[in-house]
Amino acid sequence: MENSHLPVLNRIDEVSVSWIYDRNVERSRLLSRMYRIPFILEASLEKRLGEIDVCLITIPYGARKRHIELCASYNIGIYVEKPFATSVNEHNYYCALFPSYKLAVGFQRRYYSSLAKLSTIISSQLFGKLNQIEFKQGNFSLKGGGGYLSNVDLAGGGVIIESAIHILDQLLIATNSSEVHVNTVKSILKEGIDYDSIFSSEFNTPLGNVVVNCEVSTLRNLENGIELIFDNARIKCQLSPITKFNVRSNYNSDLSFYLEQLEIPDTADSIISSFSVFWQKYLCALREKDGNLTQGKSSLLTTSWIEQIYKHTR
Amino acid sequence: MRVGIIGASSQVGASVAYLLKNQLDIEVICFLRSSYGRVYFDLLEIPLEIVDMSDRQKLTEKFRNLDVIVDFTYPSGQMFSIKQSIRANLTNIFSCMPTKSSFIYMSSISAYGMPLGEKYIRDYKIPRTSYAHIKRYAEKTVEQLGRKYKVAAFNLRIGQVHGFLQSVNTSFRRKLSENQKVYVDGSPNDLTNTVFVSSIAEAIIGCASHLNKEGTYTLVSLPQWTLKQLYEFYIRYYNLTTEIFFIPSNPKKGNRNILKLVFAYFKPYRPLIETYFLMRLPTLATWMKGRFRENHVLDSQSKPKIEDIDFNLLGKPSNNIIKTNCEIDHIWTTESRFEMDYNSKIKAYQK
Repeated sequence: MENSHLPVLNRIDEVSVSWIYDRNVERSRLLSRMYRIPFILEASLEKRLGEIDVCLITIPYGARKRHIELCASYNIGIYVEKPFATSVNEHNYYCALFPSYKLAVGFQRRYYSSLAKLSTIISSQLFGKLNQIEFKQGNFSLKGGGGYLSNVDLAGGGVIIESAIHILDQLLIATNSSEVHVNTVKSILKEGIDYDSIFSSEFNTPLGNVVVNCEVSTLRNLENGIELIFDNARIKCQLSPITKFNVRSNYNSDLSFYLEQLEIPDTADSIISSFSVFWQKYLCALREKDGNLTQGKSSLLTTSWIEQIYKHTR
Repeated sequence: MRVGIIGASSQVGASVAYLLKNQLDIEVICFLRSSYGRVYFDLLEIPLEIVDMSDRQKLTEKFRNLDVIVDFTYPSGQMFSIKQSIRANLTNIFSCMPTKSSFIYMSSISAYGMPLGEKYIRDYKIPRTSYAHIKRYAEKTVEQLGRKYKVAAFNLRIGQVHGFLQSVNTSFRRKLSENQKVYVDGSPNDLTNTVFVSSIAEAIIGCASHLNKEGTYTLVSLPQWTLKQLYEFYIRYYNLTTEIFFIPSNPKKGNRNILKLVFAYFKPYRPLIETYFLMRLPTLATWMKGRFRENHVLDSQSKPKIEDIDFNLLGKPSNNIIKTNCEIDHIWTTESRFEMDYNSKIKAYQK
């Protein structure tokens, strides 16, 4: 909120941020001073919802339900930070409360330039059919983020749902998957929070099935990134806004090169610009009552994947 | 000896806790604010307490039997509030410590006060970054509180920390493995200001055993590792085939040519200067053109136009360096033993 949404929203002409609310009044006061936005107290929260067109909710997963329902009762648009839901049922319940164009989920990384490029590489079958994906994300960190990360009811889970979910969502988008099945999961779990997991899944895509092996850890440093194994080549890359695609032939390991990434319109080449692109697209969708890339329903498969992973671990 | 570690959820704190307990056989107890990191300590069987650092009664009780407290914390929050938080935290800790015990504050080599991007270590009277300013403030506070509460107080200015759980390690490894050739800014024999976690654990024992007098020290490997030694360690440890080229770029600050600075300043105005000034002074214009071409050649020869692999702070620190065992073979053995043990425990716990 402090470093992304508020500075972006303050720079969009058609947007005026009416107020901010944080349970911690000191925090509200600080953001208010930083961005010249009035803050409100809890007592007036419900009344003030009537003044706005869109509500941006970035509080932890477990504290949101009442606020989402309240926004629905006022018939206003809503942006909900990820994780949106921990089960398909919960996901569908929230989606049913809003017209689809009014509900956006915080998967703005779908606008990354690297993802658009990767989708093209996969769908064009430039290197043949995609057969397998290897994804690793491991950064040793024991920091609890102000405490809420150690409370499964608030956080919804551990490092998978808090952080790796972005890449999982990007992989589903890049492959245009219609179904996902989790086959095996090995995990270190404590009080419902995952810290280190190795899981294998399978995507159903328009071009056939793809095996996806993932390793996600907050206890180990791993060689982070994704590797895509096609019929004719393997591609290694990161899913940062812009990335280098390292291509290696399956037939001659000495044959390796980097793919140039051309500029793709309406995509983001930095984290902050993904927020800008998101807000432009979302506001456009609200005006035209049309869909957009991050609307609630579009991430149902991501929630399904998350739900299956956690079902295996618990 | 009984050691208490505050801020053990940091990468360095967590690693040091393991090494003290498992490799140096020291009794350790770690203190965390949040239970998120508990899994690591349970995995390695390191005693842990979740405490509110403002609860003096609890702290006094927990610190009662400890000989030394090591503080790895750095408060989060807005810059203007950090100094206040540091003073409040340190005051709470010192006031709850038994007299004649020792306190070790983990400061940083950044406390020397170098400006951002400065390649060589130097002691600046006025720190050039807010982080350095805050660290010096913390060091001073530690000294004051040590005197007030009769606790032996140490500040350790730690260099860039390496070790398999450190993010620096990941960054080095990734950049080295992603490229066939890498360029390092410096000469092979330039001294680095790096330290491995095992040296930090040894330094803590040294301070707590009064082998060192209380005061402020620098903690980097001694003898300092050279750039060549550091990069070769990574290449060997991770079995990489990367070729390394050591090419120094920017000269030391102070050696900068004033004329170059003047040229740089007027560069955006070059077309204007050419049109309205140099066209009237052919001798000066010709001389400048020659100089420009020569410099251009020098620039292109000095370094290939490829990014340096990492930023390394070079040179010799002026403060006392604490002596620990920094022999490459010793570091290698300690690291690999720790890594193997840790990974086998992770594997055993994955269900």
